[in-house]
Amino acid sequence: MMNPRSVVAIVDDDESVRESLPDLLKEFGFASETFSSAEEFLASDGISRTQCLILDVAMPGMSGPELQKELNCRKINIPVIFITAHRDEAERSRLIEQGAAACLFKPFSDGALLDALNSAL
Amino acid sequence: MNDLVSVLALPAVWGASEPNRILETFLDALVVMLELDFLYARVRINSQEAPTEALRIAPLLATRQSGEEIRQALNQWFEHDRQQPPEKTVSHLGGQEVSVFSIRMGIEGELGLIVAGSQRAGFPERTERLVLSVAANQTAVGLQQARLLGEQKQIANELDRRVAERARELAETNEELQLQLGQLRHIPVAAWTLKPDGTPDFVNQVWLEYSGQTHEFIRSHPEAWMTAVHPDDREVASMSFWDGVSSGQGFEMEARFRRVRDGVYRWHLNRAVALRDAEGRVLRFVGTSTDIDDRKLAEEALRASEAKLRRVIDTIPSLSWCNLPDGPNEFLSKGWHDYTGLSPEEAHGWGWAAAFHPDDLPPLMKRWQELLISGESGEIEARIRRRDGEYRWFLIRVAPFRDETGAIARWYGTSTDIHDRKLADEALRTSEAQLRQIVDSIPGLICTMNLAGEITTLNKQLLEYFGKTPEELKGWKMTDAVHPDDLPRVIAAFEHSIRTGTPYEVEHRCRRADGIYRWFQVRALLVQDKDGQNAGRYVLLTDIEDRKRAEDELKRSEARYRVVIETASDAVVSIDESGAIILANPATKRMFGYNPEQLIGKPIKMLMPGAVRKLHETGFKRYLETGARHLNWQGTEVTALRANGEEFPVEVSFGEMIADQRKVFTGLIRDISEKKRAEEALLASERSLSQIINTMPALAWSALPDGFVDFFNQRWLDYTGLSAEQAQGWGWVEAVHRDDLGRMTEYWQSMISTGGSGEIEGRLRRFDGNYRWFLFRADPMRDESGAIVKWYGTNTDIDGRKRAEEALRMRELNLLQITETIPEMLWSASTDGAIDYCNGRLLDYTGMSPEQVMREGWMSLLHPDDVGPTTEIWKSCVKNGASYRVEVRTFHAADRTYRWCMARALPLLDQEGCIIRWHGTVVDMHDWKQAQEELRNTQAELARMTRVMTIGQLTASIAHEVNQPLSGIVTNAGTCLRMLDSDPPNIDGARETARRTIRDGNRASEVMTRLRTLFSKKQIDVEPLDLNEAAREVITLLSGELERNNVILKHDFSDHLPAVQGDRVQLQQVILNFIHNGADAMDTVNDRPRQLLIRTETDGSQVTVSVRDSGIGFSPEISERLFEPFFTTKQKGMGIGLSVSRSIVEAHRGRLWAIRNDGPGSTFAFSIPRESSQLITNRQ
Repeated sequence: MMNPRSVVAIVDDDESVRESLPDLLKEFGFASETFSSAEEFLASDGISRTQCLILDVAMPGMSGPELQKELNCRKINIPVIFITAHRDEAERSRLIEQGAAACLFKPFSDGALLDALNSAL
Repeated sequence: MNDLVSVLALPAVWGASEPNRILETFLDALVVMLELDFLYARVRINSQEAPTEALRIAPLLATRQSGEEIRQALNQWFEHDRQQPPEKTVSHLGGQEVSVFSIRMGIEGELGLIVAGSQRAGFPERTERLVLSVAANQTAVGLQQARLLGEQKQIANELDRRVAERARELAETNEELQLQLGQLRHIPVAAWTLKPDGTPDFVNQVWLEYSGQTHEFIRSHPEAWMTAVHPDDREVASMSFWDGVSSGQGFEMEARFRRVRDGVYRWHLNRAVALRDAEGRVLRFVGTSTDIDDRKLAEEALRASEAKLRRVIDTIPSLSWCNLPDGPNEFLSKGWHDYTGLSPEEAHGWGWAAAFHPDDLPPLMKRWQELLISGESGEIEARIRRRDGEYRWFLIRVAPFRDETGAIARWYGTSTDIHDRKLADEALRTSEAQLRQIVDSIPGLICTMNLAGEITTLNKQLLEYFGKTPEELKGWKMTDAVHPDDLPRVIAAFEHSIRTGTPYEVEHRCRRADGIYRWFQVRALLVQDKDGQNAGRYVLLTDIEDRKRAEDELKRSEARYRVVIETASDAVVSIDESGAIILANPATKRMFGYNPEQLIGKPIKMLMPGAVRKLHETGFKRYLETGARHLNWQGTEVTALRANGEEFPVEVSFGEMIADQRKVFTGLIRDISEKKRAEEALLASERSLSQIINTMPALAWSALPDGFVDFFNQRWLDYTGLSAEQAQGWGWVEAVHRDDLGRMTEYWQSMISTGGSGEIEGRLRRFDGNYRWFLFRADPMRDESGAIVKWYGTNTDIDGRKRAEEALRMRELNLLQITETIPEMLWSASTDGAIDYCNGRLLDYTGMSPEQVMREGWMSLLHPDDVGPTTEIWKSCVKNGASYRVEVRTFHAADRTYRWCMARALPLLDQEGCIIRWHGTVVDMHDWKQAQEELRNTQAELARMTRVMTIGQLTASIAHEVNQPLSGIVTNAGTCLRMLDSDPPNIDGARETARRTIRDGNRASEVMTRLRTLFSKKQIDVEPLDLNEAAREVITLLSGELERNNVILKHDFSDHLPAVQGDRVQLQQVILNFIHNGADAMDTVNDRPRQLLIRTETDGSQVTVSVRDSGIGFSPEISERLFEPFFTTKQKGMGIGLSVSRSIVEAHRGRLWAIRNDGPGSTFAFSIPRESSQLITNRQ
């Protein structure tokens, strides 16, 4: 708990995701924080605590990949697991290529998420 | 000192009091303060007003002295010097000695005067003096202030008054304005007002209905209304509009505006005037737009009609012109200028006179002056110079045209070329005169008789001989002009001649003026008119008295030469008074077939045929009794009878001798069969001569039986310019037009071979090289045996008629060609509605003959179900003169089916507006009608297709929408299991996650329901509908897609939107389409936010949904085509979205439009009426 980066941050505009994922992560043994938009995340002081980012691709305002880019610019290196409701293999490849740890299509199983977390950390 | 302080404080007490009040206070204060017996003040507050006086008297003094007395005393006192009263004096008042002290107020004393009085001896003391003078000064100051205040107040009052007046004026102006606006609202033309900057702020209902624009739309932008202007007129309209607005002068322009009802552009006259306030500032522009389309069309029609009339005038074969009421010329037709070669400038006014022959000009001018004075129509003949210098005769006719007051407004005239006719007339006159001369100078008596035997014309010699008047001679049968003995014979012979058409030749005695009868040989020739009918007789009377005597003498001497007679070839027979033959010479044998022996003792009658015997007997008997001869004794032609019964003509001459107291008659009989033939030939030749004379005014000729032309009359030669030698035989063909020659010579030869009369038309060259049409006529003249002796021919000039005929035929042909070749079925009907013409196409189409269709037969062309209604409509149209238009199934012969046709007809009216006839068309619209039907089906199919296509576009959105809740479900379910599996199981946590699973499951189900509604193909489903809610659903559906495209969607929904009747899914489709289009239009936009604004609003009767984007917009050129099917500006688009949208909105009785935004992008909108419960349900 004293690890400065011990929290999994969830950024998604869909409330059901923000509701359900923290419980699952808690079962996995992760602490989590939720943000409803990229802007909210950037404005929070949670960045420094975040060891992994579960990031929705399409959101009003700043999108997931844009947030990733912004973090890169700020030289903040946090592994990113993208989640998206838009099933597009081409986009998944592109996101992996650009440094994402994983990209999961909604709905994804708890096992798939655990695998992604393990590979990211 | 206290007093002084009190005095100094006085102005503060006064404040802004009235001057009178100040004065009173001052007096009251001082009287008490200084214990005065009286104090008087007179001040002039303002130079225009009378001075104000005030007086205070102490109670003690007042008991003895009245104010009036004191005043009198003062007046006396001041009388010495009004301007400079003594400063100090002593006066007696009421028996008391009173010290009086006066102080002037104001620097120069201009304000007034104070006079104080006291019985105290030392008055005024120094202090009192000071107090008084300070008080006076203070009062002066107070008064000055009061005066100033008064002036200010006055100014303020004045200002108030003016403000009030101005306000009233403004109110009036405003009222006027409101009144005008009120009128604008109701006037039946489109009317509107503009703010001074050109923004419309009021538009009346007429304009709104016409243009289909809304108030809000028009007010949204100064140029919004211009979307209704025809694209071609927009630039000009905009320019004059802004010129008029910026200059404040208003404007007047014509432009075409689109009528929303039918999409037709109509011409409008737009006028705006500035409404100004009293200062001249523009308050409003007030304008109207008047529909002048019909006037404009009428104008054009008028212009066209004028041009047509002008053409007519320029092309009619007469020269036409128009003169001003006082004589000078105003207008001459093109033909006039062409003919004379004078330019319009040269001919203008009186310049035309130069074209007239100098000899004809004076009478022409004289006649023209007479007409100008009398104001009557008139005509005159005169020669007008052709441009080549030749003068030709013209008939000039002129008639006045009067205006409503009866004054002459113009003279209209024509000049018609009558040159040829005139020359022909003159030639005829000349020829008649010549003939007359000939007739009068012939040394014989000549006259003409009509068929009744009356003398119609006669020559001088005849008159002189008879010594009677022409009238007496006319009825010669009733006078003694003919010897009474001869008269019956003459009349009988004449009637016989008329009846049989044979020539007439009789010898009889005519009474000379001196009463003596002389023998005449009278011969008459038949006169035939043009048609070969007997018209009368030419009669020539030759005096044979002397010859007759000589003949008688000769006969007597002949008798002496009997031997000669015996041997003569002529038969000689003598009879006695009983008529018995007493002598016959041998020639009788050859002539009659009787020997002289056989004849002697026999009656002479045996040599005569039965018809002659009776005549002979009565004549002979009468002669013996009276000496009157029944026939000419010298050379009378009679018919004789041979022994073999053959009748033959003989010429008989008689002689009379007295032998033994008895008369013996001897006849010399000559067989004249041969001579008779020769005579008839002669007669024919005479007749030919007469015919030629009769036909003098025409071109005439004669030909031998074989067609060799042996004679041309002078006119023929004059006309062609050929000499008789050149034309003779077949030489005349040279003058015949090359194109007519073959036809004419062939015809002529066929006439010659068949020997029939005939006529043919052909062109004959005039001496000047011009060809004119002639009618060539020829008749054969035959001898008794029927053989053709000669051909007689005439050529008649029919050029004018021919040309007119040609023109008429061409016009008829042209019209016929038009009606028969235009690809329309045409028909016409008489005023009673009966069909009297059908063109070929109509007959081909129906397979009927004209007879079958005419009258009432057309009904058999129609589908039996349509006959009744169609007939009703037609009858009603015929009765009312209304235009006829009906869709009817008509029999089509080619495939023996009934096809839908549009039959139309309009009445043709005469000038009084009465129907002359009906003209109609029939148009097969079967295919069109079917295509319409198919189009409607296609539209419906397209609508479904778009829905299907949007499925493709929406897959991503659907996946997104469904996957979101699914994601929650899966995650929650996973979590739930893990919580249950943990030790100890987290039952509360599992319950919570399971609950969330159910909620998300329901959410997914809702999404599916929405999608199913959207994509199912359904009938139109009309229900009360909240468009806000419908729009919200679409937004939800599309939010994912829009997010991906970085489109920011905002909405502005009206809170008070009434429900509309409509099909939810269809209208959602329209909204979806708008949003898609808007998003697509912003696809390439990167320099500004991609923003979409959905707005709903209502004006109470209509509900409007608009989608405004900030995309690339559309150019004005394509705005017309946006809603056409298959029109697209997108790479991927099919161009059906908007056209389907339009059909949906129109089915809701709504309206769809697109406008370009002020800023970037465009706005698409539709509005549907609040109460659109009745959909146009024309779908299958």
